[in-house]
Amino acid sequence: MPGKIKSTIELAMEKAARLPKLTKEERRSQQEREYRPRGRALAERFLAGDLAEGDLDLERSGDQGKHREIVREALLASLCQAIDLEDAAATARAFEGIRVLARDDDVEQASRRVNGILRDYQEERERELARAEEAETAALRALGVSGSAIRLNMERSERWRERRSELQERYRPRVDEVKRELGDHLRRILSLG
Amino acid sequence: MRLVGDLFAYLWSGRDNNCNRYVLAGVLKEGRHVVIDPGHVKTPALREAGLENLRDEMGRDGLDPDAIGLVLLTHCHPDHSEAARVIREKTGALVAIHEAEAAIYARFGGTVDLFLGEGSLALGTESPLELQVFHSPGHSPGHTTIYWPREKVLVAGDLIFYRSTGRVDLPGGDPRALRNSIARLSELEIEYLLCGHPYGHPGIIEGGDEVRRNFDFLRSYLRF
Repeated sequence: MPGKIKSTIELAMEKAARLPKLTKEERRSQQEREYRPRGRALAERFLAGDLAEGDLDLERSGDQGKHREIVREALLASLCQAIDLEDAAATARAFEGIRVLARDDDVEQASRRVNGILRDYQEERERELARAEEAETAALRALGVSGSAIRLNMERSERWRERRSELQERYRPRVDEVKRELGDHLRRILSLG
Repeated sequence: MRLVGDLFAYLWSGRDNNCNRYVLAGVLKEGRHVVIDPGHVKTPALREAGLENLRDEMGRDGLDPDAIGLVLLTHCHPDHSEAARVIREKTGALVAIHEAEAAIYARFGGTVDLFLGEGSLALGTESPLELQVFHSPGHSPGHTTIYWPREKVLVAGDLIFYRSTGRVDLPGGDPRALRNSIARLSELEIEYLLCGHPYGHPGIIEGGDEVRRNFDFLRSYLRF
């Protein structure tokens, strides 16, 4: 009697069954590799304005249980990462997204603290930029160049770049501290959920 | 060669493509010069020495080619702007170009110190030379032209040539904008119209009547 002829799918299933089973950690790692990019992509599209707040409602997504948690964790981590001293608009948008996923007093407090730091930074930055522009304009006038047709490219001003770096070195650690605390808080919420 | 006042013209006479170069001599602090469109360092096909030619010609006119304080670029195309990068490195000159040209100029390796836009431009500390800068798009989006009212000189870049106009088929070219820019400049009183290239003509249209005839010719086929 000739043996039963097996289909390709049956052969593949048999082969797969002979493979060693994944450990719990390996399974988790495999799931993270698969689902974290989804969270990061959602955050990118939300920050870019391609998605609305309602689109971050993961309950409506097809992902279930553990998978949904991985997406949520990656999404929140990416939104936290977008909080930036030099970009008030992205920071505001990041907090809008974070609030959709985790709205509580700690998030609101973090938002107020970051806004305060960004406001202080912007005010000082404006003052310092005006000072640097004044100095550059004076140097330009001394060379013999003036008039309304000319505008300084301050990104080329060494004086301004140095001053801005000093300001960033002073303010960035304060923003980073809030981001770290917020990240810890969000991870705690997720582990409870 | 000295054209009028402190303005020198260095018309390109090579076989390959390069622009006409113009110099406002000694107008800045410590007698530094302003160069408008220094052109190619070396021309692309025949490797003719564009910048070296400019330096030699300036030297023959008694102008120190290392004493350049400012480079004004009418637009970013390399046949006008390439040498600005080298001049900046060598002499510490500042480079000015319209903001709409800056990104492409940076892609060619250029660095912009000043953005050049519509308005007045005074060069010099005592009794400065007063220029007017016009945003004149068409050949490129941030193309500028430079007018010296006292001597009635217009540096036209690649907007206007003798019986012709700049091309509009390059990226950012816009025929309607070109026509409007030319129409606007035709209202100026011009004795010397300095073209960006020696196309079919050395590139300096001299005399009010001749300049008017050139505008009339352009008007007849651009219909402005």
